[in-house]
Amino acid sequence: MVLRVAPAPSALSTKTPHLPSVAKRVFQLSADDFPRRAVGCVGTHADLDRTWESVRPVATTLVDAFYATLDLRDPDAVSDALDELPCELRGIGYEGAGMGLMALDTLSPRGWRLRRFILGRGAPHQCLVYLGAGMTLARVPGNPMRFVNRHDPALRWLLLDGYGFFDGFFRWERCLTRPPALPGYGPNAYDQGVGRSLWFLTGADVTRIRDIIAGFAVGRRPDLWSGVGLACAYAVGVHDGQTVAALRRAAGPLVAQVAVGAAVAALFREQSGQHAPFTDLACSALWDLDGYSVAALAHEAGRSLAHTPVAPPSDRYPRWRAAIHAAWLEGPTAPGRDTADEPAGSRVEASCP
Amino acid sequence: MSLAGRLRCHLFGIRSVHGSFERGGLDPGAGARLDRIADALVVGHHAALEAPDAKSLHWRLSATPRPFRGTAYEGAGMGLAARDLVTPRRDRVGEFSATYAGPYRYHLHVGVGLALARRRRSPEERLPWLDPLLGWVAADGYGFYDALFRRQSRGPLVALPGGWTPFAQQLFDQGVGRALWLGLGGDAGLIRREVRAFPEPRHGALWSGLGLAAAYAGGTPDQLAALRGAAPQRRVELAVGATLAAWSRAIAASPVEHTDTACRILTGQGAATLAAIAEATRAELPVISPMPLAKLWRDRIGFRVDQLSHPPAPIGRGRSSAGDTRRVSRDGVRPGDWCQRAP
Repeated sequence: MVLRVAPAPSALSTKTPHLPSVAKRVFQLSADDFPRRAVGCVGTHADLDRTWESVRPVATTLVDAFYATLDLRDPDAVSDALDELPCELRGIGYEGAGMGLMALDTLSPRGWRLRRFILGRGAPHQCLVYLGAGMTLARVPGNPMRFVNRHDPALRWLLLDGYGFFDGFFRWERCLTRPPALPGYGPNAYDQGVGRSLWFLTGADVTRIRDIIAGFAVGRRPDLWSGVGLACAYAVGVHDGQTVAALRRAAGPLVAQVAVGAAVAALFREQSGQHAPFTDLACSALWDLDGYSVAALAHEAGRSLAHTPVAPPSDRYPRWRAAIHAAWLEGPTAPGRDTADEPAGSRVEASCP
Repeated sequence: MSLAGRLRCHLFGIRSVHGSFERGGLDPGAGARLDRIADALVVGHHAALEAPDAKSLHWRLSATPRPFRGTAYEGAGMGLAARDLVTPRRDRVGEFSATYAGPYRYHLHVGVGLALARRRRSPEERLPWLDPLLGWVAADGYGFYDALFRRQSRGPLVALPGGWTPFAQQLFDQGVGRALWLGLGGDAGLIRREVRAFPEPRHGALWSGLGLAAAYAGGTPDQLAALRGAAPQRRVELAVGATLAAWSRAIAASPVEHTDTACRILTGQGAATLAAIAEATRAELPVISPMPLAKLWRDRIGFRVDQLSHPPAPIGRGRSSAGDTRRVSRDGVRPGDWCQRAP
């Protein structure tokens, strides 16, 4: 799964030729490291190799896209390269591009490549781009908020989600105690990212996820489960129908949070126009609806937020998630409904429409 | 006035905008007609430069006569943004917008665009600090400023700034269109000639701006009818502009008669109807959208306004072009259309 990169046009290599090499040295990343991280977090287990095989394409795409972005630097050239990727991995590619653009932005004083990318051709994938960009922030010394505050007030929380994911994946000890100085909704977003990382670290092993989350403080668990829900509905290739059913049982009373995560994932998919059968599967298990309907429902939940033309909207992202939560509680899959009617675990292959 | 306030007025203040109309390209008589608007702008601007805090600024702006208060807030947005740009840690525009600007937040953000244009700073770079929906109109203010102060001697009146996204450029041209209406004294013949000098893809946004300014500032019935007749194929764009003007007047609770008259002549609908359409579409905007919220809003207003004059066609005659089988949402906008390259 190698990202094909067109040779950089000469126009790109005129200014600051040293920037990519600096960035590469500062932000080293290797896909082959990933299994070792998993051992560090959840301990070694027999099927680690099998799990790793299923996650490998995602990891290599992420790292390749990251390095390609550092080489290309120009947001449009990055989009060209990413559009060559197979459709189910394209979102992950954009995540890697977000990492790369954020890395370049943090190294230049008024960098706004990431903003330009999101205003331009990165727009359909903006949520994934933000998640990736947040992973870079975790490695930037100092307060991450000085970069976070340069971005869209509602979606900037996704940056901290990515930050949490990075800590969960690469610095497990650190995410047990939260990083300091995250204002507002930051700690929640951070934990959602940690929850996402659990899905990959454990290789989608629901029992292990449950045990790990049980070790966290009670107040952090809802966001952790929400992150797990997002990863399970979005991630590639590590999914079958029984897993979601098991997830429902494992989450217990916090299953609504899993559903919120899945709805957000469905919306990410709908935004980028890249339909994936496993997103549908997760949505039908958690919401009893297909992916597009869940995304529509998530949009609808956002509309019901009290708008007023005379005051700026505040806390849109947390309030939106709360509205989705409320919608789930009113829906047909809320607690009390039996969960035994999931399709018996047929593994689903991703396909491009 | 405090010493710091005086210093700020000296650094960022405006001496007079009247002179700008006398240079080529615009009608020299326009300056006299625009006296009161220009005065309100300067008053608001200087108030923002002098005022020590948001509250005292609010009191000073409240003293301006109601029909010109929007323009005073525009000036205030310009002054506050000018101060923000030199002290990056402060966000006076955001604070004022969240506290006292209330119904005049639209005008405030147009004013931000004027300040950005003076400093040659891209509005898109500034967006994260501005309102997620209304912040985009800073690009409109930028275009208005360029049309008044950075006109070209040949070719189209104003050149598009490079490196902006297409939507920001569209709003820039809307600002240019507003300046054309005010600067050419509402003479439809002159306007049509001036618009023709622009490349064709820019015309739509220019007509939106013309509709906006004509409905906001008003004109004689003859002028307005001539404007409508000058571009029959730009009817929808003209109506979108008029709708935004009606909405901003309605939100500010300053419904003036000339806006209603202009809306009726330009679109066949009263200002209240149009404002209600804009408000209903605004309240329906999603939280997350791959398209800028402001673009979504405009497109939906355009669709609804178009429907008013043309009830939906019977089933079988779709609005999308033949052969296009992609999903079309209920407002006729295809997802991803605005930022994708042609296939």
